Amino acid sequence: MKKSDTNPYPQPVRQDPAAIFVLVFERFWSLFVQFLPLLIIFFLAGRGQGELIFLVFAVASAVISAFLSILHYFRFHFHIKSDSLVITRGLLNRTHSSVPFERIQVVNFEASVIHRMLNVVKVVVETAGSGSSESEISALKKSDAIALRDYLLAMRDSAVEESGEDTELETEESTTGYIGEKIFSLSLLDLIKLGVTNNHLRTAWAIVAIAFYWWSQYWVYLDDPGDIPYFPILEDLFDSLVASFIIMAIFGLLAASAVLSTGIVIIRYFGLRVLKVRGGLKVSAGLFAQREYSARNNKLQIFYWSTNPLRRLLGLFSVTMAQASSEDGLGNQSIGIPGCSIDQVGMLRNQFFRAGTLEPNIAYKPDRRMIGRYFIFFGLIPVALALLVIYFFTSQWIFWVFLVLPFILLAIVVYYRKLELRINHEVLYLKKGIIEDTWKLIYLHKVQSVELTQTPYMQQRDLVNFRIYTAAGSILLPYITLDQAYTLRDFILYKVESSRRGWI
Amino acid sequence: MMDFENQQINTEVLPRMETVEYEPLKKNFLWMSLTQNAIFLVVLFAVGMIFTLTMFLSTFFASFLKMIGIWVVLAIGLVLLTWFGFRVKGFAVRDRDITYKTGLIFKSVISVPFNRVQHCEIRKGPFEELFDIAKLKVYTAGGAASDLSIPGLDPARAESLKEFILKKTEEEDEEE
Repeated sequence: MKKSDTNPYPQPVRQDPAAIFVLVFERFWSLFVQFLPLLIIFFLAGRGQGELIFLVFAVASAVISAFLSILHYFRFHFHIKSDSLVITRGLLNRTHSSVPFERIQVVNFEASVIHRMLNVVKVVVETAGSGSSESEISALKKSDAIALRDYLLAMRDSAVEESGEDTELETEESTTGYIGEKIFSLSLLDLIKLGVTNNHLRTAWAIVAIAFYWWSQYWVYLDDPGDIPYFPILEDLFDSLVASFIIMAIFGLLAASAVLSTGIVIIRYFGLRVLKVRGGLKVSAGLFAQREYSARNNKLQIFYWSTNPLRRLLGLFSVTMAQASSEDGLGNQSIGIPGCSIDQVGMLRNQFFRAGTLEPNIAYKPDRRMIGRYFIFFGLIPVALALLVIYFFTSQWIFWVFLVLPFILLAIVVYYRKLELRINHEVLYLKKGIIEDTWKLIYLHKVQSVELTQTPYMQQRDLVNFRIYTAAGSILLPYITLDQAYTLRDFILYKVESSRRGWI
Repeated sequence: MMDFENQQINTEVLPRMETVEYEPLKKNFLWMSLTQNAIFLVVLFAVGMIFTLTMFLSTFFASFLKMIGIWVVLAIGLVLLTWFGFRVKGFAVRDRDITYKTGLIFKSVISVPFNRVQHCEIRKGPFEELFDIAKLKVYTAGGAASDLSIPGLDPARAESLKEFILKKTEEEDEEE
């Protein structure tokens, strides 16, 4: 406490000299990533002249960017004034930004591989309000960074107390204890489980899309595949080969996507830890670049958890905490925890929702007529269009596309049976899903507005689509009866308007 | 949580929204929309004219008649939509929230509580200036889809509504 009373940076200073390496490295890395596709093409295709020009170009841009990074380091100063953090930077256009203490929301540390090698951290100061809402200091020694953070947060708290009007901090009781109590962490085995049980169809689709994109971007550089020799004798063999090749390709794609998703999950969530800090949770994770995210009680708008059949077998759920990013509600930031047991979901949920509030008792379900209407919109019409498009290109009526209709109907029936909104005096609770199940929790007093919409069909039959907006997304309850919708709207508006608690 | 209470609420006694009377928009909004329609239709007519002149010079008369036919159907449809669409538009102000309904074919009713209003503003385009009306926009934190905008208000009414909403928002803030 004593230490954070004295200003650690009264005079403008530069960052830790390690920042030079960090900046140069970051520039190189971003250049490398940008040029990666070209690099691969050139080294595979091996074109003498092109390679030379490319090499010269690459070296030149590397040297220039290194030089610029070094200049940037020398032109970057920061210090703490009596009421704000001041950062001055820029080579020709000097930018002079000052962050008033009371606008500071969180001070986060990030550490990439290069940071960890040099034993420094990047300091990110998040602020409330519109415009550029972040200030960064690329590299500081860990101890200096902690001193800076403690001082800034201590000054923030006293500034807020003086003005005494900020609702932002009413949930925070003490000024000490930034290193919170650990709620849970994920081991490498957990991450591998998560990677393997990922939604592989999505990843496989992404692989195909990216491959197609690359191919369409760079196909001009690739050599012509050439004339494949044609032997009529082998034709029969080819047919059976093609069939087995397609099956192999599907399995290969699935295997590749399993490996890829496992890799991505490990890179993103390595060493994930969830800490309980005052006013919310703090999540840190990452293999190459360790990042910290904070979920704050007041900023949380929607809490949802979901699972798919594979993960359900292993008892794994993923959790997303959708937050409003700032007080004007522009944009939102979500924090995801890729996997935890149902007990851990409960633990996380209890950080934000008191246990007593979780017994939603009144249930709303869509009307049965939703099935038929959705079948028309998502089944019959798309299939008919597909039929026409196929006819247009091949001039053949391929009626077996109708075989997808039973599957679409099945999906709609499952969706209808799972969709349900429950409500009590404090929370809304929406359950939905077809293959992947999702549960969403929203505090009633965080609702921003409600909207009722009707198509002509619905007007004749007194049915309504009911949409509820929050600062981090909206939820839809389709095809409820008009009476239900009116009661629900009256109730939600009553709860919002009579609540003394703000939405942020 | 000192004043926390959790009594049963009888939903029968809640203030009912469906019984409110909606105020219609100012008649000038209809004239403005019709003027905009007319301009659009004239431009469309001119473009269509140039198109038929250049593309179907040989069969000019027949295609001219066809085009006129399509144009007339479109014009009647547009005018009818605007005319009857105007009659279903309306807004209602209660003590603690504001509601706007619109949509002839696809109906929509949106309600925003005053204690969730971020800010509100009055907009006047050149057409609005000409027809002496104003548009009131009420912003919430729920993003563009959840915002509420009432076109076709009398400028004085828009101003007083804005004042009223801002006063209500401030009152709510003080309570919190």
